[in-house]
Amino acid sequence: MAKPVKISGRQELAGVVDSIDLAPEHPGHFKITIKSSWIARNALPGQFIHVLPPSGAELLRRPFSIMSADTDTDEVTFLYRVIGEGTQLLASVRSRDVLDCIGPLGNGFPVDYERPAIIAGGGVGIPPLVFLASKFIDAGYPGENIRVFLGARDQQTLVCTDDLNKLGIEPVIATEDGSVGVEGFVTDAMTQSEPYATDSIVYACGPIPMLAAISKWSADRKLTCYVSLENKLGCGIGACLGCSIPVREPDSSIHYERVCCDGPAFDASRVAFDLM
Amino acid sequence: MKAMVPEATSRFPLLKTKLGPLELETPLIAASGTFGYGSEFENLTDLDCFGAVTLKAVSIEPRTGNPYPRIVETPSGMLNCIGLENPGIDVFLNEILPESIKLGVPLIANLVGDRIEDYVSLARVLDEQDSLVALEINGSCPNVDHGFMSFAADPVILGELVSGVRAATSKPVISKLSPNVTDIIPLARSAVNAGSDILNLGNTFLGMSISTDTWKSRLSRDYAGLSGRAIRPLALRIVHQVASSVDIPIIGTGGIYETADAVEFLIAGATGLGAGTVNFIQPNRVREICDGINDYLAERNLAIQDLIGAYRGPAEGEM
Ligand SMILES: Cc1cc2nc3c(=O)[nH]c(=O)nc-3n(C[C@H](O)[C@H](O)[C@H](O)COP(=O)(O)O)c2cc1C
Ligand code: FES
Repeated sequence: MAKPVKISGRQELAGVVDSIDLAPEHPGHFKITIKSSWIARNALPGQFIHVLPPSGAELLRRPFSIMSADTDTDEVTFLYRVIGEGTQLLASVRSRDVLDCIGPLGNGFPVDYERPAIIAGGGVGIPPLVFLASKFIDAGYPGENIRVFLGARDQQTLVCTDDLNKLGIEPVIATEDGSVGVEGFVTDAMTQSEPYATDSIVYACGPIPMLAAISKWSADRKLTCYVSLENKLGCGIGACLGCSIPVREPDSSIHYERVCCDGPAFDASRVAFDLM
Repeated sequence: MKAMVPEATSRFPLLKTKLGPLELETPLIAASGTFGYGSEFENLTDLDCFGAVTLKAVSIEPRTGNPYPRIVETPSGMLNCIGLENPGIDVFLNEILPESIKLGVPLIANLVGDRIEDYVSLARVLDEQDSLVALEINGSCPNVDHGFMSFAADPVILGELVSGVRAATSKPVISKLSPNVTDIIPLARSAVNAGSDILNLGNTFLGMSISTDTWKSRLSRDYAGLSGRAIRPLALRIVHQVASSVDIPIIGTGGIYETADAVEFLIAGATGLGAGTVNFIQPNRVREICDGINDYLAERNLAIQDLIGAYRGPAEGEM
């Protein structure tokens, strides 16, 4: 049951280094780089920053997963798709503007660098997986040993493949329209690439139906799976209980845990996807 | 009935506020359910700008709250159906309150229950907690003994609730009313007659949001509570209506986002100012509002009491 948490995030007025419109390859997608030494130095894969949509609109903050955090340059990058008023306003940001961010927030993936990683996701769930993959590379994993699977509706929503290639990672891709890679869902691509070491850990981020499928896929194979959930947030710091998702305990009782501070990364076997 | 206010150096000397028996350093009060247990905000703002922090609602038994999804943003505000999730009075007393006390800011408990007896038992237990400067009755809960109608919808039942709590505690009692009634005046009068020291006006307005894709609610309930800037003119009107009909202090709550909003509520007749949703947007804003009211008063050479209820009536053809 929700208890107060001490947050490690701080409020930062971060200078915008650049904001890149990813059209025409990815219409409606933008990548923003900000400068914040606090966030860059403390960020972990799966954590997010809570960004105030600019120009005084007084909208709620929007959470964005961290895509990269460079401790040399203090630069932090996130990638998003324009879906509403807040992200629309964010799309108007230019370099040298200032973004009001609170971060880093939430619990990232509990990463085990000793065990083989299966990294899977889709949509704007891909950027935090790039951050995760880069940490595996930093930890000395050769790129060809990190197995990354990306699912997308079509090529336009298939972001970050270049960023993965730069890390020396060749992701296996599934698109629903078959325009790139395997035709079907990300789990189809994962099945086609079997077998996996039995001690592999699945790390996933993406839309909820995809995470539900990856969670089931992992459970069927008795693989540990961590999912990073996206949800609407109010406060982002555990105070409003607005972001809670259902969790099922071994005795099948249901309670609610907060995406913003108990997650966003959860052990997938605990998440009651059937109630979401 | 003297309230316990921790000794503090006065950062906002002009903002000292007296809500009947409750003396606060500033009129700004964090609204229940929007500020957690206070410690969540410790790294993000100076808590000493808050005259008091109202903690998340507490009930006798733990409550799991409503299913997913619980919030959605709406024009200039948000809808929530959290469902009063809380770990119950035992965990509240043993694990939560001791942590909140360390913040050094005056605390108010927000009481919820299914029946009047629940509130009364809570009040009895919480009365022993020196760190609490007041107890707030959340009257918006459904009353199990009366067809789940809200306690704050019937003057007789509200009166019984408030007198029950009044008898169980020597601390200042705040009655937080629901705006979802046809006429709030009889309810406000009933709370006053039953011994309430302060009124909080008020809680969220019932609203609704439907997905045009699924034709279902965007939330796990049909209706949910609307808060934020969207409700400010409504809450302001209620504060003004009630302030002209009762003579106990009022906490005005609803969509206070900036200094001018706060000043408006004071002029309409509020003595205290509840701030909720704004804390999500800008955890620092309440501090800015305190600075802002301070400057407003200093520039005009006014005391805060000069503003309270100083409304001058309709505009008269001024262009
Ligand atoms: C997420 C959320 C949770 C709330 N929980 C409570 C609660 O537990 N008890 C209560 O009396 N009011 C609760 N409220 C109502 C607020 O205390 C406040 O009355 C209302 O939000 C209007 O103020 P605002 O517009 O400044 O947010 C809650 C409001 C929100 C947005
Ligand atoms: S967003 Fe407020 S508790 Fe998670």
